[in-house]
Amino acid sequence: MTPNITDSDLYLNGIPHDRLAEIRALDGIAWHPYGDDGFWAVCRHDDVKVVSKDSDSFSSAIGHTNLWDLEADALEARRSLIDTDAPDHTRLRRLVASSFTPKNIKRWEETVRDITVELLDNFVVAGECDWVAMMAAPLPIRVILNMLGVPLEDADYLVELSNYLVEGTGETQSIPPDAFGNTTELRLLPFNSPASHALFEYGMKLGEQRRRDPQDDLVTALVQVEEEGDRLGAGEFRNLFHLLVFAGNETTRTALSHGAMALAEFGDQWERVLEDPTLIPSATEEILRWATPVMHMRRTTSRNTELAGTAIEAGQKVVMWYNSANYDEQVFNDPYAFDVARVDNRHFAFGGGGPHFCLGAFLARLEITVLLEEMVKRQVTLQQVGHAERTPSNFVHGVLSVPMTAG
Amino acid sequence: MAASPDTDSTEPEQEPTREPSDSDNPDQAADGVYLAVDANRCIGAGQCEMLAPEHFRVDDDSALAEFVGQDSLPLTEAELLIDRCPSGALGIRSEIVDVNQDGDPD
Repeated sequence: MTPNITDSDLYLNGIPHDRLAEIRALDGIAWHPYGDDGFWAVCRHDDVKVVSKDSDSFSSAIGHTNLWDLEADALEARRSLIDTDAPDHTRLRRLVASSFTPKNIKRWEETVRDITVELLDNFVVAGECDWVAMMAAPLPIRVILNMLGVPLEDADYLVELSNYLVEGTGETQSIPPDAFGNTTELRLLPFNSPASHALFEYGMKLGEQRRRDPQDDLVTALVQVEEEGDRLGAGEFRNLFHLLVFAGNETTRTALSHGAMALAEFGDQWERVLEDPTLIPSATEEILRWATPVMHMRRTTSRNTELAGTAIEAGQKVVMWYNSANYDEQVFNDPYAFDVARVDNRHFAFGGGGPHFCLGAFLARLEITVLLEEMVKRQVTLQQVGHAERTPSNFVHGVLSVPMTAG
Repeated sequence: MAASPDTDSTEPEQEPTREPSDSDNPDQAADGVYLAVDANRCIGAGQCEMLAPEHFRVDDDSALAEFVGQDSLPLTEAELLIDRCPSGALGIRSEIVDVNQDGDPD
């Protein structure tokens, strides 16, 4: 029988490595019951890669990319880059990809560094404090808001909205359905959250402003983008703005949280980086592997197919477990060791390849790398001084709080 | 693997050398192969530029990868780059072909 890997409580103590390893060792692909139905649990690195790259057989546009299905109208209303297939996906992705190329992301390095230095200096003098609140959460959200061109005086409001969205991934929400003047049915909103309505409104208002008065920022780039007469539609812009605020926030926050915890737990590894800062790029990749901020993504078969010798019928859920692939002993030498000098680190923290490869990969790398560089410059060594509170979620590998001090 | 856009010191395998390979394939130049980008598949993810900045550049306007190197690559390195390309846009060519002009990468 397939061990359960979806129960949220399992994740309160971290990734359930033993159960995932058990599934990896099974022949073929394991069927995992879920609700009234179930899904194929794809846990091996090789198999995740196949599903990820073969988007003709494994669709992102059918059903949903999370474990549960959405009704057709809800799926349509929420549809973004994440839940689109070619050719729509290719078109949308092309329209935004130029803002995220390695060189265009590098343009933001100084901004990232200024924010990092300010937060890191505050952290060092604060003594014992919550790393998530002081560093892991504010760094990515301030960077993405800066890139988007959100005025400083509105940043707190957007941080608040984005925190409500994170809450929407859990079981309970602390705000009523009509919060922020929302009148849309919650099931039609991303994360079922009225905060999505507020974020949509804000994004559209900012987009209008930038159309009239262009600035050197991402929102201007998105409202101005045009390729062979093609532009983003109003709904596309709205959903994309929402995606960028959320994805630029939650995922890197998680990477920075687990990165800090790993550097504190494996002090010898941080020593290596301090002694040899040329290890920062490989340490960055290892933090990404170790953190695996998004633990799975779902596809749905568009036709009858076969995977690892297992026949899969059209219309079935196929779930790629990145938190398993990233610890696959067939691919990673000593996978449960945190190794800042790991070579050939083919982690799937940005997905397993294929057209949905993380748009913000270079931004995430930049933020982690700059933080490590500034920590090395200041010879900051982290110590975890208490229990890490984790998000009870099988989807985001979140850390709610973790007390740290600079040693 | 660990690579940064700034260095090529962490490149996989050895430095691309000019040693003739033992390949029997007559389609391949004796000292390696060239890669081409399928403009219809490329999503500008930039992995090729990160892994092999001497051979690839993602255009900042079109967000399409371009093979900018004049040098051929050892087959093993070429295969690794093909494997790492998220969109499956890279393919082996026996000589430099500007696919963005003839529009037919295959």
